[in-house]
Amino acid sequence: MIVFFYLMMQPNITFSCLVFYCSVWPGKKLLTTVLLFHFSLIKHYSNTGPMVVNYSDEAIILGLQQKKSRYIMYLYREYFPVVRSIVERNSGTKQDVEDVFQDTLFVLYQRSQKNDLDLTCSLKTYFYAISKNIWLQRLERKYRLLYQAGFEVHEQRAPYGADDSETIEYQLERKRLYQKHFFNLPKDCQKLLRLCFTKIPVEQIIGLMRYKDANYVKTRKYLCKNMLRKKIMNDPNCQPFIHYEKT
Amino acid sequence: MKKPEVQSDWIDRYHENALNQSELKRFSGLYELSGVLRAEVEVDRCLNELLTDQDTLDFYQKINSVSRKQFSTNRRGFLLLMAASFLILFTVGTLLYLLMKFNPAAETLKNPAPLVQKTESSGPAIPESYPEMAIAGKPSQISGDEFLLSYPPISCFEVLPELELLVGAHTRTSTFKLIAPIPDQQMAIGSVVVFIWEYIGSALPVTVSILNNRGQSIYKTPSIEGNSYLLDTGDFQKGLYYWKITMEDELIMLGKIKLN
Repeated sequence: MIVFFYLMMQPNITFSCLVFYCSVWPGKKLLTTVLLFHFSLIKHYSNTGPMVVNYSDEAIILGLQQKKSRYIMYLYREYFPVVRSIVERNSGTKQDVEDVFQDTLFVLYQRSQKNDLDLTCSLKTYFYAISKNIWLQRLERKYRLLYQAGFEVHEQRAPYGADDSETIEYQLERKRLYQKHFFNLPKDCQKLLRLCFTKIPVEQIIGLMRYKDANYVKTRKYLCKNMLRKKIMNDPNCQPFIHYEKT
Repeated sequence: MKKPEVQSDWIDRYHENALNQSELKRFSGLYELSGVLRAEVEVDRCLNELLTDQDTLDFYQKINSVSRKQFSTNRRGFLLLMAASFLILFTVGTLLYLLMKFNPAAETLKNPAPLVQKTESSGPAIPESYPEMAIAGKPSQISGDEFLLSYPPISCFEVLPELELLVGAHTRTSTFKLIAPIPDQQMAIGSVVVFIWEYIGSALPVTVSILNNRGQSIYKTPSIEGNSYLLDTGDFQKGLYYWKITMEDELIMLGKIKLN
């Protein structure tokens, strides 16, 4: 009965209907139990993955430094709800949550790369502080809204300054949008642009990309870059970062 | 702000310092005039910064792939869950259906017999474990001449003790006399069993039922007004069967036939 009520409380209505159907099926107690057990296992597996591992803050920072997927995945699982609570409580959308989370990850990554993470609080608190700051700056920039009076962090004060040049929300968003367009380019364009910007000799690029000559490499590079520029210029989300006036 | 006519590679070459003097002069003039060109040059500069920082690009690529995996896993997991659930329900349902269809014992469990209805009959006591006698006063589950081929005898000639006690016994000897068949008869499959009886006194319609050797009814006639009934055993399988004659829902006589 406990398992039944637990499952019935799950948000998935279809799943609950199935559970209900199984439970009212007359004379099939054993079958119902087996099915419930099976469903609960699958549901648990699909929500949490095969194994739940907890990493220490140091391990996470080290993993992030080395760009290891499992640590990023761990951060997604453990810290994403924290960011969601900040953003969605303050008129943010699901997309905003995702954006702020990625920006926070990037800030954390940059800090870890420079060995500039001298934590005096838990990593979660630090993460919370960065994402809150990013979101508040973004809110201010985008909507010019006054902050809610009750929006206070009742946690240990994190050593994170909003005036830090690396974490200027504006740059973070621009970088994220630009990279998004870059990764939407055709694969050969991505590869060519990466090769060109890592200062690899043209002869080597010709060999790697199997192009016929240096002229073709140049032309192709210009075309790819042009394509990327056009994508950015035509994206409404990128408009705040495009200045037509003389600076 | 109309975009000036410039070669598409000029912006790149401008940042690479690859424009010649005349091109640079023309480009600078257009740069002063056109806001769009200025914006494009600025975007290009930022792009160059981003593309030069391969490390950042690698990290973003990693984030993107993890994010895709993270959000697609939940959706895929949910779809898999639903598919697995429906598949299991369908499979188990089909198995149960087939099991019930070909296993009379399961059918008995599904439709358990009601309690024996006590009557004021002067006949012999009816054993409670005899399910067919329990249908007295209720409509039969098998209608008319319907023959359920799904009820073959389970172990061909094994007798059912409860019914064996009643074989050949009359319960209304004063009003009904059976002439044929004899209570314990052996015959070949496909033969016709002839039921003949006569009334002593008032004639009432009778019903002939055939039971398998587990006491389950496999055949039941509608009410017969006359004095005879012919049962074709062409559709029967080899085994022991019991027959019973009832009048006004009361057992009159019970016998058995062995079909070889």
